[in-house]
Amino acid sequence: MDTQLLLVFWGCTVLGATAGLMGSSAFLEKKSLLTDGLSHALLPGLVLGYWISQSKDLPFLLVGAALSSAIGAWLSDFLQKNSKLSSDAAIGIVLGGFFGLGTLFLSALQHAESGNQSGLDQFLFGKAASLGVQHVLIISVVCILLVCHFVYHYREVKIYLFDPVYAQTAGISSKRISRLLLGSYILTAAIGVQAVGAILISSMLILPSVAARMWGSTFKGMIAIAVSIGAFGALAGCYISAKFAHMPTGPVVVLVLGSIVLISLFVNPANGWIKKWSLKTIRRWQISSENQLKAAYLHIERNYHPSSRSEYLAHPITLAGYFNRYAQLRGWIVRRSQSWYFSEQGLVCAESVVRKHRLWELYLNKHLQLHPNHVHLSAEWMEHFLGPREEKVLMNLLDQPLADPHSKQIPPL
Amino acid sequence: MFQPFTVVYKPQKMNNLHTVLSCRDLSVSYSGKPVLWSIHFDMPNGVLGGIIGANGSGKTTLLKAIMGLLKPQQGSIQVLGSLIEEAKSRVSYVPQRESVDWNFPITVEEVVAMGRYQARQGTWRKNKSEDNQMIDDSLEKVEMTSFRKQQISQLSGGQQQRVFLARALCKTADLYILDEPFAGVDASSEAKIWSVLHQLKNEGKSVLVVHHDLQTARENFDWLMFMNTYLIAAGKTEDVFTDENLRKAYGSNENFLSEISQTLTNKPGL
Repeated sequence: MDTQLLLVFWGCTVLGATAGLMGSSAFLEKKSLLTDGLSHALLPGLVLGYWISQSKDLPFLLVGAALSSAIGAWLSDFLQKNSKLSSDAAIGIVLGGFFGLGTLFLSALQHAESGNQSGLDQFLFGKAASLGVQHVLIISVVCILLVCHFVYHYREVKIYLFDPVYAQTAGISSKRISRLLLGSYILTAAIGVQAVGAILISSMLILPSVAARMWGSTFKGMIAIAVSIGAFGALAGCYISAKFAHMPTGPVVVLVLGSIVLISLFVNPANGWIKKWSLKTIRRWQISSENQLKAAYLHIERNYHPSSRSEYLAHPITLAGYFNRYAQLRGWIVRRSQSWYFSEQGLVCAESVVRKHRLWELYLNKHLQLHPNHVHLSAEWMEHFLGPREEKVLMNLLDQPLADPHSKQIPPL
Repeated sequence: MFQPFTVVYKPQKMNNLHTVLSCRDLSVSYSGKPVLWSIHFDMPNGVLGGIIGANGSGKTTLLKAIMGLLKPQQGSIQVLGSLIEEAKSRVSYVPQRESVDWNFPITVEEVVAMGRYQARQGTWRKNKSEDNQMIDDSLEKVEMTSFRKQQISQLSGGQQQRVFLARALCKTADLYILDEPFAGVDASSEAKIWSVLHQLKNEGKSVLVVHHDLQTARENFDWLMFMNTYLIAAGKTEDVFTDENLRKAYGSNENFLSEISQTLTNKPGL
């Protein structure tokens, strides 16, 4: 690999890590949308900087970009304070207005000097491969400064992000911290604009923190994960865009980060969709099996009026077709001479459900003074959610009862 | 913003040791709409004091003004004998529970540790053992020690409130100000919070609480203040807890005042 490529990879990784850090802070400050507005507001200043300096002289471009973004931030704040606009509307105005202005400048510039228009659209979509030594140096220095700054103010920032009002009463100037953070977001977006582009740089801030929030449950943990995801996403995006022709960096980076978010949605440990769905399915299946066993038990009870427990094992039962095979696998039923019967294990399960149902009915009736006509529905639901421990507690609470409010027998424990 | 009647009071040093908090003709308005009308009172040192008033009577606004979170339109406030800016390290504030996002990725211990911020400023100056001792003690007092490492998102309302209280206790202050600490709190948490407040009073601290429930107010507070955007009465509980004051606090007999407020809200140029 040649040095130029290594340089680009280094720049992107550092940028991605810093964006992950600043993005977490914006996410927890509930200002994710603002970062989108800020990055779109970079464009007019960027183009003006280019026009004034008549070259792609980096300091000019970056200062111009940061300035116009700062003006955008001020404007959205001003609009919120001096009109009845909500923050999203104010940000929407700034985002659209500044971006429109920026594209207007861009097209005017492209027409004015048709000979030297190449590379201007990389401000929109980004081209990491065009990063020079100077740019990577600037990225590294600014990123290191931003990170040091964040670490230095770590405690203040943490208190401010969680509870700005309390921070104020503890002698932290919430206004100052919020301005410092805003400045950090703007700087991060400005140094990244050539690599990733004005449209998509905000995704580099937002996406890592969104994914990280699903994995990390502590403040430090979340930030560490966001930094790692940001660095990885930026590096992977750069690599892909450098490897294949006609692949602008911005969209690739965003797609990589977006896939990480998508995967996180499915598999994250706290409440990933796969976990949620499987738990739900298992629960549904459990309820359905318990209902089937209960129905079989009640069928015997109603039709044969058994006087002893062993009679439940002696009468044939019918289960729904799809369930029959499962019950057989679980060992709940056994086949004898063309008919199905409860196994000992299956009977224990069925008894338990019926017992919980009737205990709950009795509990509602005795302790909550509900009329016997109004206890069945609740028991239909609770019979699936009470555990063995609750069963025992209820048994003791109700003095080892023999019958429920409808004088049906409660199977003994 | 144009404020036609702004009068700047020169704060004078108070030498009265018996007063922990004093408001002098305090008026506050939100973009023209007056929410506090000339509140004027002194709160004595070492009492467990309550602020009683209906919804929208400006109780929270008063606390925010006291804490320096709002700029008063007129009048002045002295906390512990000086301006709030100088007294901040000696005042501990418990905001309303709903004011923060309880899904924030942070543990109980970390929230409580925030109370140590002022005692341990500067990034490199660390006396961790003292901090940990304070955090332990505070958690112990509100009986939340076993939740120390838990995420705050897993707590019930009462537990959240106790964590907030522990954070305030962690900051050794002389005046504790609490905004609706009993809102949405279960009975056992309520009892624990009351016992902590009484304990603070017994240690010689002053406590000021915004409160709703009249029954418990009468039993627990030894100083009360009734307000309904204006001050109705402030003083010892047995002196001010009268039917007349209650009626003024919860009835809407001062219609003219709210009418004026409404008029001022819609006045252009304010």
